[in-house]
Amino acid sequence: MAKLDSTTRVLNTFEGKPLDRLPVFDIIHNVEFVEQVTGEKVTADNAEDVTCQAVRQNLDLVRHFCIPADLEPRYEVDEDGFQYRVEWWTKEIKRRPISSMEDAVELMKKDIEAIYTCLEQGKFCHQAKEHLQLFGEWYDYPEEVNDHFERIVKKLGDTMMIAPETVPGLYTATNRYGFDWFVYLYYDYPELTLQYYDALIDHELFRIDSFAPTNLSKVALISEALAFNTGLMWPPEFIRTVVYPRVKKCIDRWKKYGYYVILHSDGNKWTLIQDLIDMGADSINPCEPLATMEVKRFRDEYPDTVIGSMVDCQYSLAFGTPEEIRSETIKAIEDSGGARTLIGSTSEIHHAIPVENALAMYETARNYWL
Amino acid sequence: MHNTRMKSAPLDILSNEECDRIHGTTVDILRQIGVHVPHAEARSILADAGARVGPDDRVYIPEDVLLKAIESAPLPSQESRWLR
Repeated sequence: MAKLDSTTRVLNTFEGKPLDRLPVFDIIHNVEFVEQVTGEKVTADNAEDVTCQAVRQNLDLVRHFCIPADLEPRYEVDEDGFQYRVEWWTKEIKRRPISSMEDAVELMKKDIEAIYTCLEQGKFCHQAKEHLQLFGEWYDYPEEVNDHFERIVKKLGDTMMIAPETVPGLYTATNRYGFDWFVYLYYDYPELTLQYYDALIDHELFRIDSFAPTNLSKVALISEALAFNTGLMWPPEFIRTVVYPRVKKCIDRWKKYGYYVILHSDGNKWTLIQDLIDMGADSINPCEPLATMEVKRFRDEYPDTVIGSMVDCQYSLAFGTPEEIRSETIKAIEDSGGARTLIGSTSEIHHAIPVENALAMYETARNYWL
Repeated sequence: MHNTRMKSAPLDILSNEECDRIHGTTVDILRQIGVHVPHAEARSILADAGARVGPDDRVYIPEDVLLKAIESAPLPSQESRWLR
């Protein structure tokens, strides 16, 4: 068949229509890769341009990504006393202003108030952000995010960028409070903790409503931390009664605007997949070999659902040879049945992945005609 | 001890001896250095399970208590049954 453009290739994948090849889907957080494929040295001035160029040259679909505007790591302390280590490709909490349950309760009450105050003002709330250094987090107002998103879309050519990612509460809460304090809070103060959880969901719904009508993308990604490599991260009862209803609210909201929804959770999530599909997810992502997720089994059990992100970036891409990567990529394509599949790394092209390995994956996928 | 290597990993990054060293050091840290547990009921549950509670809300977990906890962790196939 005739060669498709990237956007059509992605949409045909979700719609189950014919494809010339499987679309390539990833995030590129690797300066060396960007510099090698573009031939440009990354600087603060050209970072957005050359990163977009590298994405355009290699991917059909890209997640909302970080821009290497400031390559030097630094530390920041925010108004609540959280200390972050900021690197161009991520942001990590190093210190929390919590040393007792009283501190945690007070902070949670303040967070709820701050979120709803911001929502009343039509702005995003610092306390409800994911803090991963994605460019969409840099702004307070929806128009600013949408303008920046549109500027990047124009630089990506026909490569589609996924809408600003939806994080339905749990990841944000456990990142901000830490797993231990969040669990203690939920145990001792379930009502307050669920109020906070719902405030985070209301913030995400506001983010969806702020972006979705722009139609700058047709694909949304909802990212939640539900599983480890060996199994579920939370008790099944908690997932079913507390997490699912809130995730479904976010899926329903994107669906209302006509978006395809990728449900992203790392780990071994076999036991959740049917529920997530039943809630409306069009795609399950990633499919990590290290978490016993297998493309062939997924395709056999869920033939109508898009699968994505299966080339392992923890071991294979980081430590394997280009030939091993080519074999793994071809196996993924063949196991997928050549349809309803987004080929890419299990998370991202991080800085420890050799450029030749990333290129081996992308070139193999781009040259495997169906 | 358990074999911590993953069956599906295509590459061997750590040798069995290196995995054993990591596990052994983990056991040492939990037993000798302990872990700060600020929640009183959580400390009480750990104490009932055989851990020693020290000053400053620090809990020291002996190897046998740790291994018993690992043994009792659910496997994915069991989760499947619980979820439905």
